[in-house]
Amino acid sequence: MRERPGRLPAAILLGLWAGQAGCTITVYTPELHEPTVPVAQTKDRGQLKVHLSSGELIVLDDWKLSPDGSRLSGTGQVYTVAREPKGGPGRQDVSTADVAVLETTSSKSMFSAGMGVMATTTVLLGAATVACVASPKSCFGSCPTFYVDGAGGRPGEPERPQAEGFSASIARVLEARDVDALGLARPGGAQVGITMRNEALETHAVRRVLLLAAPRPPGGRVLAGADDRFYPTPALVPPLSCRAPEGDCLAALRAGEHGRSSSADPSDLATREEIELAFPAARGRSGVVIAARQTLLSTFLFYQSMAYVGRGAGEFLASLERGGPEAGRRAMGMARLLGGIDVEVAEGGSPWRAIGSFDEPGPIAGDTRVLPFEATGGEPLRVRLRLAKGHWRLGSIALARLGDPVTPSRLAAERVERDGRPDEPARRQLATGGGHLVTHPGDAYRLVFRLPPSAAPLELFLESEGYYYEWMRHEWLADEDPRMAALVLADPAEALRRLAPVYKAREPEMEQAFWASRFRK
Amino acid sequence: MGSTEVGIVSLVVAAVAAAGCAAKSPPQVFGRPVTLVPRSETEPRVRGELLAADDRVAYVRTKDGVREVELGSLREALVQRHGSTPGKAMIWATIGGLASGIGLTAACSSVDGNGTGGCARIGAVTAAIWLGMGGIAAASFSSSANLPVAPWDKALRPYARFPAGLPKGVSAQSLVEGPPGPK
Repeated sequence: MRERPGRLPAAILLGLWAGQAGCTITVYTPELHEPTVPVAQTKDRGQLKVHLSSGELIVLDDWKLSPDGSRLSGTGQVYTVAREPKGGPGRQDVSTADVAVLETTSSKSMFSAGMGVMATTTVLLGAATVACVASPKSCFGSCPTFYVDGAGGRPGEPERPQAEGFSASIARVLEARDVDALGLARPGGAQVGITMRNEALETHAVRRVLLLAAPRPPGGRVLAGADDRFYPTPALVPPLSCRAPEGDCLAALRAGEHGRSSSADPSDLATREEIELAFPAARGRSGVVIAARQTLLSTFLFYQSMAYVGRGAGEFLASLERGGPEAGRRAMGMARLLGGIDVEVAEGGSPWRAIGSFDEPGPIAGDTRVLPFEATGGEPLRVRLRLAKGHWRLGSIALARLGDPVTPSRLAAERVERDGRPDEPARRQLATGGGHLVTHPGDAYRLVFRLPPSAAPLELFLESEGYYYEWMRHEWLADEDPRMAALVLADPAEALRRLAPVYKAREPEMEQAFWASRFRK
Repeated sequence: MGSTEVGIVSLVVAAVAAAGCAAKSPPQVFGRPVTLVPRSETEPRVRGELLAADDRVAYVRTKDGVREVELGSLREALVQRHGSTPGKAMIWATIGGLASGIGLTAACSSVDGNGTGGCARIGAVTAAIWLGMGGIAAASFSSSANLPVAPWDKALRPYARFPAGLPKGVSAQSLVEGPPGPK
């Protein structure tokens, strides 16, 4: 189990507090008194037990001895010899001649190491268990993740990552730069804290992390384009209709986090489907805005490929590095065939024209991109998406009128902290990109950025660059199959057909596990 | 921590605090649980509720009925001081270990890519930590739960249901009703 370092101190403090608070036991010691001797009523003594000669017992909450010492009266409950209540509680009056002995009880708190051990164990392990069951990914892994302070609308680090970096860069040869829209705006001059975590059984090599900030137009947004440019837009226009193979998909697109998705094809994982949307007519520079994330299909294929390679994983990765970009391209053959979300537009009855693809890897944080195009404004706009079945979850599709591209400020972190202490070498590395900051499972770095002055709120994007190595799992070795490993590289299309039934058998289970373990507030 | 986790941890802390409060024994109308330890190594110990003790005999309500034990045959008497017993510590540790072990194993297995074997090991280690801590707590409770008392002086009497001795006309054998005594 990898406990999140940032949360560990709080949990330990709570555990120690509970241990301290719960490590005393109160011990009650009885004291006997003669019946005719007045027994002072004190808070420490509590109740008075009046043991009668008959064997009955009266427990008094308050009491008074008559001046001549002959009678004892008060409020309380009588018990029989068998110690069953006799009548109800009320006023009691008894002759001291009938009293055998009086009993009071003093209390004393006693230190108990055992109670402290149990209280601390219960709090620490109990809290860790509940937290991990509520959010398994936060304990047991995911891709390189970034958490922006206050992104959940509350102070501190949110439960859900706002970005995952360079998910497709599974080897040094595939090292890449990745820009993720954080979907957030902050005022100019503000400080932005971002925690970068390694939550998976992976070694991450992070070359650079920068925060990009661009002023939002009044009431609008700034969108990252698939062409690596940034476009301001005054508003996002939702679709008028949405038709998918299953029928109307408008409601699914409005469902938010889950979005619209489909099942993979049972005979060929590369099988594609089409979705058609309608928008009002647009004029001038426009864009189709797509917010989406991958399903676990790509994760399955990656892990299965690693399993097929088995004990040869080290050799495979080494050959990948030696082979350069071409070897990397071959290794990503199945991912290339699955492809992105290809987008076409048409105005009225005019022919379809391709405007680009949305292809942001990773099943955790997703991303938002705009695909720009020029619209004539003559007729309503139709948008057609082509995508591999069961490969994408569409969060939202919108139309945007785009302004002239803007250049965001590229900000390096002014402070980097690890375990609450400044880490200047890490800050320099992440700012300059001169080398790699290597992280291991459980590592976390907090990056603090200072936004430039701005009258308008600043739309934020995260730029990360690097690569990572997946750790081999003992369980994967059982699936070692050199012939399938070779097929994945030599004929990825055939591999996707052969893997289709394997994936279909696990698809419902994987999706359920994914959503059961999604990050929640 | 997120607010959800703070709430969860607060609940756990409250539960522990409540458990701690529950361990503080309220005034009892019955006699204290005692263990009478005989001088002879071959004689069994007598455990149960202390009904009464006079100069010669202690009356103890055991699960097999009321026993009259000669005080002169005893090496010592152990009076239960508090309700946090070794058995309760082990029961709590077992419940916690099972809940944590199963919960963490299931949570770990639900994340794609994590193997069942590795996740099971995480659960097993967690359960073992619980049981280990339970064992430490049990050892601590074992040494603190009982107060040794010399049975031949009057120190034992205040802990009895009838500190002044058995009432006249009341047969000890008739006093079989009451909460279960210590086993």
